[in-house]
Parts: sequence; C-alpha cells; structure tokens
Amino acid sequence: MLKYYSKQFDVQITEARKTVKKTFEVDKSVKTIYGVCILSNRDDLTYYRGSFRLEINKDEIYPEGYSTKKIMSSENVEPNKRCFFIGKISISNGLITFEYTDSEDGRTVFAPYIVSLSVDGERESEI
Amino acid sequence: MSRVRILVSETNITKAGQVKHFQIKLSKHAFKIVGIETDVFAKSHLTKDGTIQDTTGGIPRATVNNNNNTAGKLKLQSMEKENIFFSDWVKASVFYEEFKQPKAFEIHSGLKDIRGKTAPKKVDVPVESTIINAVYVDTIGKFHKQDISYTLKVFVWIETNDNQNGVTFEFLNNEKETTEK
Repeated sequence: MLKYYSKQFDVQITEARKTVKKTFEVDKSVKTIYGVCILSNRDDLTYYRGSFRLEINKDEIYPEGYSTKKIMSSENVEPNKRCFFIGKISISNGLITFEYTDSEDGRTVFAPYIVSLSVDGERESEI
Repeated sequence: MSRVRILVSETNITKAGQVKHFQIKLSKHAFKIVGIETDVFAKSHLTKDGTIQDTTGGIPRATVNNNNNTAGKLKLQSMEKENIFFSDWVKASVFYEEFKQPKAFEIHSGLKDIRGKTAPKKVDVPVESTIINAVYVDTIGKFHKQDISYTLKVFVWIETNDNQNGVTFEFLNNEKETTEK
C-alpha cells in the first residue's frame, strides 16, 4: 500500500558566495517523488541570494543557476499546495543531489543559514 | 519521449540605460520552447528608497518601492517565429517582504504569481535552429540616473526528445491556475 512521504534534507550555508553540494540517499521504501519545495530558517537570504541545481537519480530536474525563489512558496499558499509538482519520478533506492549556491545580492547581508530541500512522494507501507 | 528541461542564460548589466544583445543557445534535442522566466540578482546595494550605495555591508534588507522595481525590458526572437515571440518587463524581483504579504501579486515579469507561488510565462515556439536572440534594455539605472550592476537571468523551458522518463512541471498542466490573479 502506498502512503504519503515527505522529508526535508538540510544544507548548512556557512560562507558567503560558496556552493554546497550534498547527495542524499532516499529510503528504499520510497517509490516515487512528485513534489519539491525549498524552505529555510532565513527565508530572506535564501530568497535573494540562492540558486541551486537538483538531480534525482542522475536526471537533472532543475539546472545549475536556477533561482531558489522560484520554488519557494509564501504563507499565502495553501499548505497542501506549497510543493512544486514535477510529475511522478520513480526513485526506489535512489539518490537526490542538491547543489546550493549562495551569491552576493545587494539587498542582504550574509549570515549563516540553513536551506532545506523538502520532497514529497509515496512510500510503500505494509500497514 | 518528450520531457521539459530548463536552460539558464545569464548576462551582466552594468550601465544605466544599457542595451544588450545576447544569444541563448538551446539544446540540440529541443523541439519546442514552452515557457520563459526571468530573474535579477542585484550586485549594487539597493536601499529602501531605491537609491544605490556602493559601500559594502551594513545595508538593511531592502524594500525598493515597487514602482521603481522594473529592471528593464526583455525581448526574444526566434527564426521559427515571425517578429518577437516574447516581450515583457523584467522586475528586479518580488521583494521578500511583499512575498510574505497576503497580496503578493503582479510581481515577476514573465510570471503569474499564484497566491505567492510563481510559474513561468507560457509560450509556444517550435525550435529548429538552436539559437534565440535576446535584446534587453535597462530601465532601473535610467530611472535612478545611476549605474546599477546586476545579473539578468533568463530561464528557458524547452521540450526535448529525451530517453529519460518525463517530468511534467506544474505550470504545464495547470493553465487555469497560472492565469488566475
């Protein structure tokens, strides 16, 4: 039986104008991924300064340099619609590669922050 | 099988009123352009009243007046379409404070902002030659009578012939929502 799955993968940004690349392994019970969203403890910095690249199972979904703000949702979006839907991707035992780049923006001053990639999908459950 | 991919093209603007011609190279597998998005990364320090400071650091989070928020105008041209297929104002971005407010709309150029969620502007341009021409003219620098440096990003959503499983982005299936105000 397939059940709803959601998980956040965190990346710590400790230096300005740096790229941080992390690869996360998804649990083998997770069968598909259909939505992604970016969250942060400093929304403003992520919003202005961030760009990223996202790869799921070595398939590039968002290219390098894609602005983070494009897949952030404000609080005005209904909670169950905040993810950006990318169609169903099979991911059993798969890898998610997330590469986040902080770049200077004239509207902010850098401070360390955490960026979370939130993924929604389906996992297999016996219950 | 066709699927949608995104290309990122960047160009730097440094002078007030600068007109920049550049080309965007498409993938050889591309057969249709389906969406265009734009974004601006400011290099100059923008302050609340829209003025520019060249010193670094100590600048509070800015909220440039929305009226002055238009960075410039972008036009795109393809060999497969008569004249210009995309022409729109590029906003310096949705400012964060407004993004958080209940009525965070009418913001990004080329984007329909759905209750604080963004989507590319849909276009339908067949691709045979793999290059599109872009012309951009700066207006924010002209408005402030100062040179403002920023990076203009153009995101081109293309449909490609790929062997990978298809990825269907939300805006492709959601015509009704993307046009909603």
